[in-house]
Amino acid sequence: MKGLITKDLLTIASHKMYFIMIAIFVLIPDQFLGNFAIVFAAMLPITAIAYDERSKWQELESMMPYSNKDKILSKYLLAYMLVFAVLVLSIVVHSILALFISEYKELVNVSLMAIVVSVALIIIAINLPFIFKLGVEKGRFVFIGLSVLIVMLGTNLNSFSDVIKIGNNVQYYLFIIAAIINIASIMISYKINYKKCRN
Amino acid sequence: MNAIEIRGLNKTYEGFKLDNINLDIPTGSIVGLVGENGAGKSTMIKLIMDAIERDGGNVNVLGIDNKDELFTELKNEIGVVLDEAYFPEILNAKDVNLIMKATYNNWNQEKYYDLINKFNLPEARKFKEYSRGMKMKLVISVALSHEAKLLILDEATSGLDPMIRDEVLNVFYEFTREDEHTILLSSHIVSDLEKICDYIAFTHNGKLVFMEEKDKLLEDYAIIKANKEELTDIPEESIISKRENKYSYEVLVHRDQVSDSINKEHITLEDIILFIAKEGM
Repeated sequence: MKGLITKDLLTIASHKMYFIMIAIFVLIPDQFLGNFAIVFAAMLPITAIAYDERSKWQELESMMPYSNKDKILSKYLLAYMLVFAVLVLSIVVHSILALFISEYKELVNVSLMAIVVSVALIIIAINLPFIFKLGVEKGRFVFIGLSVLIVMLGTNLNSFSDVIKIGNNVQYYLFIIAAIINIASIMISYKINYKKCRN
Repeated sequence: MNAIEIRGLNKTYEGFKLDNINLDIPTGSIVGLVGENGAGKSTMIKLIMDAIERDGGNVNVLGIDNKDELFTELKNEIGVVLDEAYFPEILNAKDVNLIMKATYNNWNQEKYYDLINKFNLPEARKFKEYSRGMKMKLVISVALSHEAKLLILDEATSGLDPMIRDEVLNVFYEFTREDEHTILLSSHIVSDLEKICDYIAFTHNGKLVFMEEKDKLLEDYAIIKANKEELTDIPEESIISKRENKYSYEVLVHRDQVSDSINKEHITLEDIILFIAKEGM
């Protein structure tokens, strides 16, 4: 599995523009863009899958010492790693900048970030089975639908902040829901991939 | 001991059936798997590597059933080169080294870079900028750099120019200098197989027609050119296949069943395969 994650990271790393975009999203003192950086990270594995599809990597992969579980889990783990990395980057950058620039202070909101991470995890969970089933080309429509939903959620982020402020534990519940959906998603993706590749 | 043992292997697709394949690949040998496009060579290789589900039969590779959980681990000892390179085009040879280092238990980085240098492959150039020959050399370098005991090559030399093919075949030949190293080489370029193989397995219409020592094949079979009258001198039981031309016949025969007084032509592996394929065996 380490080899598969290494391949995907190297594939994504070759697109420096993605990292520049994430850096810009994180550095601009805007809550929506800061949160979008985390969601954006969750979508990066799709790039790696697109390259796999184009090169028919699966043909070679099936000859290598990777189990069928490795092939699926590696994509999910990659997404989690990227989301976590951007989350840490956001917290560190915003916390440092908040010491000097007051606009960044409101961005350091761990509860809100927990919600955004959960949303990112749910996006991964919904997106990947469709991508495995339909391929990146057709699976992109699901991604577009989810993006519209994210924008709608993004424009209402203030109300989410209000919900958190009144002491509701929504971030915890949302995280648990995201975790459950991800477990189900991994199982579905495994079955889809097995059926697709083993015949 | 056999590196690969196949018993009663079956796989059916719409319009194609790989039918009851029984095949042994002896350890230390180079076995050529030959057959026309669509004869079932690639399907057989995928089934050997358990990359697809079989409908029936058993496959043992290096002493392990390929349905055993240990088989994934065993793939560390099997180098595979397919008809295309299949690496994401954005990567380069250095990236491939990092990926394979994290993939294979016995990855030999030094050997990999030796081969990369031997093949004059630019390390930093992206894969999409490689020619087909360069791509195939890179994949061959990978297959030879993780201490594999078994090499499985599926049309690995197709589409390469004769110079590169020769270079690559020499590398494969070097690989079998060690007694326990085995190669299964699938190709429809019969001259390549004739050059390096010890055994030839011929598949036709999803069936294994024969698996024989190459030298024995060339000794056992012969071609006789005859007119209609001379044809009657050839014993019926010795005839495997015949081709009718405008004024004569070309007949593939079992050499030992034909009298020495009848003149026999020099035969190539390609002749044998073409005759047998035509006969539809």
